[in-house]
Amino acid sequence: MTRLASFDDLVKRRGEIAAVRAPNRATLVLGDGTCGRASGSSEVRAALSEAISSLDTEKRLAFRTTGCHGFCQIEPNVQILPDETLYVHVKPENAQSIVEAALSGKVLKNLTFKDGQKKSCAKITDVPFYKRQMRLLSGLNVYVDPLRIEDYIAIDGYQALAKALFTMTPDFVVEEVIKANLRGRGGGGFPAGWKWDSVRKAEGEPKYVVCNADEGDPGAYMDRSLLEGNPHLVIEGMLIGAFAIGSHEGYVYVRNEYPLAVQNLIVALDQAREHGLLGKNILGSGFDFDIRINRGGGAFVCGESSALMQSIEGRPGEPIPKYVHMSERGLYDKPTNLNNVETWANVPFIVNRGADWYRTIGTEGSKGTKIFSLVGNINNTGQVEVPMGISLREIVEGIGGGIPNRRKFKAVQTGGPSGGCLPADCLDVPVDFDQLTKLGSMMGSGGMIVMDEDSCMVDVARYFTNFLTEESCGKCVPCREGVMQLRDILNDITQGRGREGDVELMEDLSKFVIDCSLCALGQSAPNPLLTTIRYFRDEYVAHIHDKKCPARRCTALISLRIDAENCTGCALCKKQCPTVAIAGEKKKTHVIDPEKCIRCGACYEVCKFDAVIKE
Amino acid sequence: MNAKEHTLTIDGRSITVKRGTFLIEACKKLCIEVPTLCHNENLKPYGVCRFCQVEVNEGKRTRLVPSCVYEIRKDGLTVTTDSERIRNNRKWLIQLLLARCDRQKDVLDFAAKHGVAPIERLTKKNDDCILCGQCVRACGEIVGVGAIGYERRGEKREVTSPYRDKNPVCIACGTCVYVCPTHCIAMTEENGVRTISRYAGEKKMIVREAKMLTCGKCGNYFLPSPVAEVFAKKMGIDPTVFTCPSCR
Repeated sequence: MTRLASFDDLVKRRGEIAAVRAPNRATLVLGDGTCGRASGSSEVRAALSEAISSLDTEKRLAFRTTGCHGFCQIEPNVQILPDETLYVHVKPENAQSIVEAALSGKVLKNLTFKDGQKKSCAKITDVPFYKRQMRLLSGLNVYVDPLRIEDYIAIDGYQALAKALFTMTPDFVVEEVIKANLRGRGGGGFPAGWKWDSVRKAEGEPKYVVCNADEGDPGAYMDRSLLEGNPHLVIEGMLIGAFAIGSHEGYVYVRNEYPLAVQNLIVALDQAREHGLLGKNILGSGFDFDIRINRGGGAFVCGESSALMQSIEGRPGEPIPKYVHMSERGLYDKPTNLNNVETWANVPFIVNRGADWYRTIGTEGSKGTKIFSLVGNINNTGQVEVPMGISLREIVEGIGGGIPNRRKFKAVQTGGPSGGCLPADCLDVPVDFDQLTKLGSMMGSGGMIVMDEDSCMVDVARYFTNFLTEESCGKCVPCREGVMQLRDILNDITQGRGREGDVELMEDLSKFVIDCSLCALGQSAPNPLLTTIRYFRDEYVAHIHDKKCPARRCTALISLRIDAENCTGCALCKKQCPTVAIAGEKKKTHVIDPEKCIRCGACYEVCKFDAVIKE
Repeated sequence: MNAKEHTLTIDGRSITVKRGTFLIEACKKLCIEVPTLCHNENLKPYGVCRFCQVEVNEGKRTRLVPSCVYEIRKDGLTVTTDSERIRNNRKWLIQLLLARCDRQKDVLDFAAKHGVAPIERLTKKNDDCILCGQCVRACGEIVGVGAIGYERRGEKREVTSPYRDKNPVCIACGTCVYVCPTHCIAMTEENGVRTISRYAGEKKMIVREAKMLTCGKCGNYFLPSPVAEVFAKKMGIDPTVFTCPSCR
């Protein structure tokens, strides 16, 4: 029987799992999360298992498929433990040689990662992307097959829960979390311990704990990789939180666009129940708690806590004014504690290793690590976990490896669509909740979009403002009408219809939208606009006053022509042009007809002689 | 903490109210008028027009709150109902509604009353509904029917019947018409049929067409039959024998 009825049972079970594992045998670990599968890891998985099963039984390598390893750029990737050899861009036909190399202890040079200087990095620790990170939470993904609770128990999983249940009082757990100064990773950065404390003290039963996994920021996927790669870590965090607060019922609100996360979570919850780690009388302690999954329908605003709870209750996902805190009157009007996936995942570490240890990581006001999704114009795209207080430059240049194609860095957007765009001047600022807010941006849930010099900041502001216009629920006037008007003015500016005074008008309107909106979506919606005005005002002036787009991105404000000196008459541009706007005989200078040209830039992209000029 | 009553100061005047009283009610008790567009004392507070905003000092900080949804739950609050910040915000609210409903008479009158002239730069939408939600809430909370609701979100949000179709659930009582501050729901009676509809012309959306009941005495049409059925059911009487108010 797998049910664990006591602390001793858990320890015993861990011993049993360790005993059946051959310690010296190499383990192949394949990143098989959503990102891996998108790059073809399923085929690699099949090829690797076939290669391994064809071996003699005693020589068989251990093989584990796990969630995301963080480095999206190199998917599908295989790690060989305990050596920590890393193979990148693995194809099914590499399977046989990887298995053979793992058996003989050799390294396949052709499959290793090559850094900026083309140097081969055989080990994970040599790869610049990993070297500067502190993968406290996400690093566990490599050791855990999300479908096997044994893997999680083997790495001291549920140890923190047992420690809390049998050696700590709920008050003490809350105190530890307060002392650790764990701040909410969903965006607001509210101290989780304080929230727990007020829910614990609030009147009313039952009390609920909720995990917010409705990650909707474009380009952000931290929560997804935690939830699909290591669901038990989140479950354990929720269990500890529930014990501390005195709750017996929990919800995970996860978006339905994360099918693998939902699937892995369902399996993990079932296995935890079978093991007596969820349900009645957990580990024989007398504590009851269970978790239900609620799938979100894809509305961005449902990540807002009150809208999320409305959605769980079966109503349209619209925020409600919350002058009475969720901790007093939340889900079904009962005291509710809502935290983000990453916040919950931090909890077992704090309980296991203590608040004092946790406080050694990070800055004065922000403790612990933070996971970011590093995307955009950056060499090393991926999910990055760093200690709070690291500089943006370290993330962008050190971990991210800088900007590709010899382009210059222009801005980094932190905090998702309602965060802000920070210019190169801000790169040396330490990343923590308070510093980013001071700069007009925010930590948000951890999206980080890097933009190179070809990005037009007015267009970027327009893009995010449009996103928020479409995702606004439309309930309150400032957000519905105000953000829409901002979007319309930005549209005008990028299309050459900007007017003098637009910037001042938008600043004024933004101030009002921030002041008066009902929920955080509206209150933070003008951030991309305001930060781009603050740091890139000259681009606005260029668009409005000079009717020019300095980044040559806004099609209405550019023109294309062919430079007669450089044009060889190869006719490549002529072939590409979708509107047949280019004329010219072979080996003679070509000409663009500005009347027919739609300024799509296809000719500019294909020209090998830099003869097409964008102005 | 759990005292049943709390004392607060509004515009320098002191008042003691029951715990959980909404701030707007406290203002009303002191005869301080707080303008609002979505508040209706017969409906649950909604807090979307943001017009009733006031500044509340809770001790540590001053914040802007819509008074219709702010519950008084502690002692010693200091409330300011009029300030430069509030006036400026209200002006913007009117601007935005004026841009949305640039030809709607009630909105134009309201703007004129508050001395706000439209900013020409803003996009005009020629809508007639300000989405205060009183119709939807009244239909659900008071009539108990829920025949209308919202469609889509954000700037495309609209009050409609399900699938923009006739809704047999509607009892044609006209409550939505009575509560609408911008008169954008139409109610007509012709040839013994009451029609509740929204929009005109091609966009016309009929929510309900209901036969009118004739008075048992004078024979004049006076009550939509679905309403009569509801009354009859509640009172356990024959729905066909109602008498109109003038014959009673």
